[in-house]
Amino acid sequence: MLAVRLAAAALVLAAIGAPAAAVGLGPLLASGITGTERKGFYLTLINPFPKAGRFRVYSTAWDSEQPAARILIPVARPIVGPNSRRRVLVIATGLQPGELHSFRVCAERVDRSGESLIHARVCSKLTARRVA
Amino acid sequence: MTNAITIWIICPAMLAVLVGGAISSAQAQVVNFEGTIVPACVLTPTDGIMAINAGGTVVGSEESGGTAASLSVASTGGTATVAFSAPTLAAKPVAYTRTPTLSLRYTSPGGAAQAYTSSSSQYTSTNPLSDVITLHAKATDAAGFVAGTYRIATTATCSQ
Repeated sequence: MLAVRLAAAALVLAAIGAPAAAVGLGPLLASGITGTERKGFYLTLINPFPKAGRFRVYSTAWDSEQPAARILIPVARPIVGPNSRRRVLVIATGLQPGELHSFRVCAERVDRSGESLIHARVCSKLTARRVA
Repeated sequence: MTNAITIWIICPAMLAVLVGGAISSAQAQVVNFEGTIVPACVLTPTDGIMAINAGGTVVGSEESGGTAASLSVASTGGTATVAFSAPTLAAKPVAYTRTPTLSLRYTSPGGAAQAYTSSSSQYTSTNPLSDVITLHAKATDAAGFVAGTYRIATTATCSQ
């Protein structure tokens, strides 16, 4: 095993350094009331890099990584231009009278090939309430 | 037969254009600057480099030849919390079949002071608008590592 150690030590081992991917999303908190079974939210997805990129927008439960139920994101893999932002529509569906539905919507880059240590994502916490 | 009457209305700005700069010095104009701040959190990571220690048992960013990673946090929508998932070994040589101990530590001017941990962790910056987190990662294996490329990964999540 010593030979293995020396061989490993003799080589430059881990080389990382490609520019990583940035992402922005907002607002981080939003809530709304509806009289119907649907409630829509507009989130702003931000690409702060000088190159266009495709992002993944997805819903999760409020306090876990499980997918949230009854959340519709019509454009879930949008492309955002360089140094630009884009609105993303998120719709809570199937709301029952008096129901309070809380969930998260997260955004991250689709292409993770340039990443090493840090995979960045931003999550908004959304709450939709249907009046009774 | 209908007689058409055309009335020209010339505003001061148009008049200034029409007559050159002849009257510009005689009139005050208001110049406005406008900007919109979107309430959001923007994460910008910069990768680090890991190197192996002299004993061959630690691959990390704090070894000689390694560099720290950083994560810039810009939050315009209120104080943000940044959570880091437990580090994982995202890449390793095929010949390396053991399971090293992975850990991550980070500090920031905004109050982050996490010692090396193998678990998930989080912090809320005391700087409400921005912070820059410096991260170090390492893999430890008392039996040593084989030559090749290793990559430790963590997911940084900005939320409120």
